[in-house]
Amino acid sequence: MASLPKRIIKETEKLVSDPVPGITAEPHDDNLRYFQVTIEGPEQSPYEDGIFELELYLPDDYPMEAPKVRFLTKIYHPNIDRLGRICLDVLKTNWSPALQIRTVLLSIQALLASPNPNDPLANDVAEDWIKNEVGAKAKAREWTKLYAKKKPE
Amino acid sequence: MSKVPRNFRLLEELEKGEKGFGPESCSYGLADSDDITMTKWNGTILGPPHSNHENRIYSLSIECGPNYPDSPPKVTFISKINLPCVNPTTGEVQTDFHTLRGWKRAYTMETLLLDLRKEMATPANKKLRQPKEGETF
Amino acid sequence: MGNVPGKMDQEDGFNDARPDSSYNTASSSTTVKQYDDDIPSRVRARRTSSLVNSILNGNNTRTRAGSNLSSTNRRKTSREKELAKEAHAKQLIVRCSETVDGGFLAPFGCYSFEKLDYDATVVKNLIIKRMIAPFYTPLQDFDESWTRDELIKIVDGLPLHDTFDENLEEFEDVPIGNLRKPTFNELIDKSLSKKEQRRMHARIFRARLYKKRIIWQENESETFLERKLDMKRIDSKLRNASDNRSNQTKKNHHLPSDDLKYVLYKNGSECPICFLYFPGPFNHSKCCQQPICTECFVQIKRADPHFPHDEVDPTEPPTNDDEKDPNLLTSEPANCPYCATANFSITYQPPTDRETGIGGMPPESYVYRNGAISKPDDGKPHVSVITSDTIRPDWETKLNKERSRLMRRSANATAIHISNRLIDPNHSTRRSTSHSSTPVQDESTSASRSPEPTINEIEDQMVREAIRLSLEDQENRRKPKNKNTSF
Repeated sequence: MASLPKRIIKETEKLVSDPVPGITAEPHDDNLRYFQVTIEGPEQSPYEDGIFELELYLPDDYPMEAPKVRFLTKIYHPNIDRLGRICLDVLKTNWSPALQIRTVLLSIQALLASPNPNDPLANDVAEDWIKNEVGAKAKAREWTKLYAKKKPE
Repeated sequence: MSKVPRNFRLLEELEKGEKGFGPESCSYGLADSDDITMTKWNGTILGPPHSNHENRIYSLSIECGPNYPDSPPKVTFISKINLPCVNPTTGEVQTDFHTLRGWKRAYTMETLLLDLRKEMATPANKKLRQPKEGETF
Repeated sequence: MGNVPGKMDQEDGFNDARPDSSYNTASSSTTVKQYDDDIPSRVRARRTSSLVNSILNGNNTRTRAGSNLSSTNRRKTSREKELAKEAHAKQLIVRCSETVDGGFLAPFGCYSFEKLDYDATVVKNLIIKRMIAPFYTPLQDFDESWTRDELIKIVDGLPLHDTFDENLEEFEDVPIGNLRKPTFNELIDKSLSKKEQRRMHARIFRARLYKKRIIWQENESETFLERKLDMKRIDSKLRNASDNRSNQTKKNHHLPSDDLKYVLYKNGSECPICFLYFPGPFNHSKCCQQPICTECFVQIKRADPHFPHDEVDPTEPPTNDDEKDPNLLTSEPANCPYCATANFSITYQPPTDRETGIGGMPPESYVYRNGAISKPDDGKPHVSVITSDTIRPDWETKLNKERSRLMRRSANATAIHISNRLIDPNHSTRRSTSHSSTPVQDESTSASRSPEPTINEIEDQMVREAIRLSLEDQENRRKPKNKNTSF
């Protein structure tokens, strides 16, 4: 309880030794429950070629409580609001302690591939998505170019 | 017990403020809902009863820097007020105000607003002459 | 140990947990501790008498005037609630003398104190009846290559409980006063409003309880260490000269024999939720047969009461929770963490070759017999099904409480709204002129939408609602009386 739980140590080790393709997650040196995350936009989605930065925090009651995750990169998506907060069932009511950091990040990547405008967090974006899907996707692509550009290697 | 990082802590406070879970006598919210750094906030304090502040609503601006909540936020009254802990020309709450001076990580913007409200109601302060309602710094 | 009423007493329980310095001389400690275990009636008598004292003390702090009957009543129930919380915290102490098949009746401490909200009496009972696995002490890691001696040495080094976080941020500023005294009114700032005083009282109580729990467990852990040292001394004596009397002393230590330690941990596995290594057999999910340790199982529970989460049409304005019918509040039984099947339940098949501790042989006399099952097979091994509601029987009370809380709140909101309209028929939000983050009382309460009823109708309605709520309250208060039945 006082020290870092075994589960977090093991998950962190595995994230480093066996990373998920297109996803990185690294704990901060001064807070091992706080991770710096990047997710590559899925292919054939408006977020393709973008690299999105996120932050993830494992609360005290993890894994009984879901990790807290937020986008730091601006993104045009019906389930992600202007502050980067994410509306995703596994982060809320459908969280299960058998899920892990990697499964959560994969779910977020999947959310980028298939937005769900019927369960929105950003109402204005969701409305746009329903009424004018082509235009909304074009805007999402534009924002990806503007804010989620790959850093030159 | 682990330390909740700044951004998640501010999200918690935002949620509490948005849902109105806090006390009725004060409130706070993000000044710019597009600001991903969540630095600038608005606050209000409902003047305490049985004082010269009764029925007044004071607006404040709160700035949570990158080291919040390890360091206290910067708080400035927008509504004009006469209070010893408030700079009479800028409206800024002096850093030697006891809550700011003895700042603890567990304190929140709500702690700060409630303590300021208490300060308005102390016997020494409650009868202080106040500027006309509606004036700003 | 039975749940005797004396256990409720906070003051005495605290003293009880403090080792009296005179008991601490090496020669007398074992006999005294044994006496304590074997003759609980003496302890009970002492506890009961001081329970009476503390009730009397409690009375002193109350207003003597007695004119305000309802406030006196409320004081009593909040005091009762505090005593129940203390009793619960005591149930969570891992006691080295209370073992079942090599495990314990209370959790090791992987999860924080305030999350241990299951019914401890129910769980202890289930463990004793071998209906769920006991709480074993986990290993952080396990290596197949460890020899028997290495494994025993590692198990010998295990503590009774995980280390505590002594300085919680939450209680950083909270005074706790003298923990030996049952009351702490002197710590409360009397210049605060009544409401704030109550809030401060609650915080101090929680901080004190947290501290007390640490002390209680640490005292028990001390006993555990003393017994381990004692056992070592006896073992070395036994090796020198076979002495029947020391063998007798050994019998009441409740510590596992080396054989038991080895058998327990040699065949363990990792819990898929906390990733810690535990002795088997595990509890298994009924639906998909996945293992789960008891410490993780007691964490899994229904969601808190909430309104159903529907998919909404984003083109419609969202409805506020305040406007919803409190009767719609729901709380579904927990899902299986592995396969999400509704109504999560577990089964447990207890070990038949090492029934030790409560309801079995003394753990120190367990001898491993290869292949042989020590207990005659009485037909089919019994397998029971335990749901997460079984260990939190109060879930329905909680749901109803939340419903009536919301009803009361919306009744209050209606009352405020109506009284505002009585004063000013054109009343709209008084503070709507200030900026968006002002504490605005939401105007769109149900009353403002429905066709306007007359003032008389509303008054009638409010009176009826108030009577109904107070009846319901009384009903709820009467119900949980019988929950402290002992096992």
